[in-house]
Amino acid sequence: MIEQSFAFGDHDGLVGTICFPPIEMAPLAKVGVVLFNAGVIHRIGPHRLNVRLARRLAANGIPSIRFDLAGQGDSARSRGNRGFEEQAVSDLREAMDFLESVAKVSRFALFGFCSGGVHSYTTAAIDARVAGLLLYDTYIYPTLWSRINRYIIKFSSGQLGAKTARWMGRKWAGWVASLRAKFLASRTNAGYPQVGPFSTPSKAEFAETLVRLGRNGLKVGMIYSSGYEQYNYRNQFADGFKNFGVSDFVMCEYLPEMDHNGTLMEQQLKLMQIIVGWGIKLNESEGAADKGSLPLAE
Amino acid sequence: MSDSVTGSRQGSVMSSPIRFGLPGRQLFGLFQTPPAGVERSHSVLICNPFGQEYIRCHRLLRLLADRLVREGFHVLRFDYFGTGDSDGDDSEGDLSRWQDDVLLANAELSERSGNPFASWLGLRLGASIAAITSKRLAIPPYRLVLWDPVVEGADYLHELETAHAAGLFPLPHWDRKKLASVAAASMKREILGFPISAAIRQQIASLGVDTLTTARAQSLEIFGSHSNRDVNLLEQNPATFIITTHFTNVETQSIWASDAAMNAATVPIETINAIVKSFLATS
Repeated sequence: MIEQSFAFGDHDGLVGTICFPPIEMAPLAKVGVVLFNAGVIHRIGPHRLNVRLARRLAANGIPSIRFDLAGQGDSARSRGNRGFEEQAVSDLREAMDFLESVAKVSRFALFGFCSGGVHSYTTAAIDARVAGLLLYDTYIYPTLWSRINRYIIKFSSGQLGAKTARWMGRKWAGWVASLRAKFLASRTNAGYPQVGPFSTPSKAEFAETLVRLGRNGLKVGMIYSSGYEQYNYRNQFADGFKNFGVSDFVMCEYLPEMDHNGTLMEQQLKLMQIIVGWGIKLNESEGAADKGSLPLAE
Repeated sequence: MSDSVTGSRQGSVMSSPIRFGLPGRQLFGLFQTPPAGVERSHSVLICNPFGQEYIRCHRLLRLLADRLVREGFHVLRFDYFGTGDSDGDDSEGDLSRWQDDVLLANAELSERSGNPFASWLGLRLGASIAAITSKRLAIPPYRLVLWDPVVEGADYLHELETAHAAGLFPLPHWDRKKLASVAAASMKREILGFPISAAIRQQIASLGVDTLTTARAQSLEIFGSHSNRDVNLLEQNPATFIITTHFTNVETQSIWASDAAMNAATVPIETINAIVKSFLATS
């Protein structure tokens, strides 16, 4: 594994580190991975997750870049007048250009942590070089069961006391009406949780984009922690999208013992194993190497 | 000196990502050069805190560095071995190795800037590391600026452990008893998302008041707030320092090292202003 740090992009304003697989592992994978800021955290990621992840990917033959979006981490502010989202997409495309030029990959997987997933999703929708999209705690689509389950969890964890439960019992009619209203609102994007400052696309809009990109070969992974009350059971994504025809190319994992930031190291390890395994499969599906020539992740 | 590949010019400030040190144990640094015409013959080396505090303070140290470089100082921020963007696994670093890294970074800064004087600025555990390392230089740093230094290592470890237990799983969960036992078991090997070995735990626990009072520099300045019990303790006993020490208390509404600021970027601008002002007054 070799790491080199660079300034690249417009006026060399973006700062990033490329992690190359060991030379003896050539030929390299075709799909490189792009890692970047999780919210306001700089490119190393929460608890240095991006650094550890990059090294595990490299040990499996997959090169990556971890970089700071313009104005964040160590990168300079943009000199243009683009809005934040437009600038982030432009930066991601610059990172892909740069990784392509130095690591000789032609396809990319974008890992988006929390609101970073919004930038990854927007970029994947317009750049055909994106072969894989991995979103962590990004768009959450509550279902009827997740709404009920949320209260059950509150009750069983002691956060919703017996007194409150009795009050809810008396108000059950209003509560059911409120659930129904939320359920109806979820058919538009009005009822979905925000992702940082960004709104969540409606279920139909999200599914339509995934289907369109899936037809072009894009593989999608959705990973959820227990960090949001609105996502609270294993099959929630599959339940929510069962009528939308996206299950063939969407991998979904739920990590109920992981908090949003991935604080426990055991959970960090689990997350990295999922991502590396997904990266290997993605490379195999792109015909990067014969099956088995990429060693399995730890 | 390793080669800087490229750099960006923001305004007339040049920022260059660099990697320096021996192959296999290279350190990441961001070297910043001031605008032409305002350069001072004085550089500033910034020493990071440890673990989650490093994540929380990245933004504020960047802003502090940007301010200093615009005022004419060459500045180097860097990551210790096994931290940030530097080589090494998280479990490989320790206080002894990080002292060597400070010396290496100091030499790198001196060579790149060509300046005869370098001041060191350390935050939290970075302040302790800078203070210990200052004793290893034949010519001590020009100014040693310690911001909210760790005074009693054992207290600091206890503080981290309390934050670790409180910070896990803030939301309702099916099995909170199980989570509590997982959190308690994890504390022996990790704190707030980072591994902590028995060796480093012991090194931190051994830190005490004398770590700071025996620091060497042409001048020593300690920044804290009135609410910082540790810094107040030091201020009450200035005679214990072997060099003249100046204390500056800054009240700020931005508690950057709080649980609420976990994985966020709170910036105590009042303290940054006070530190920049102190550098301008003495350069």
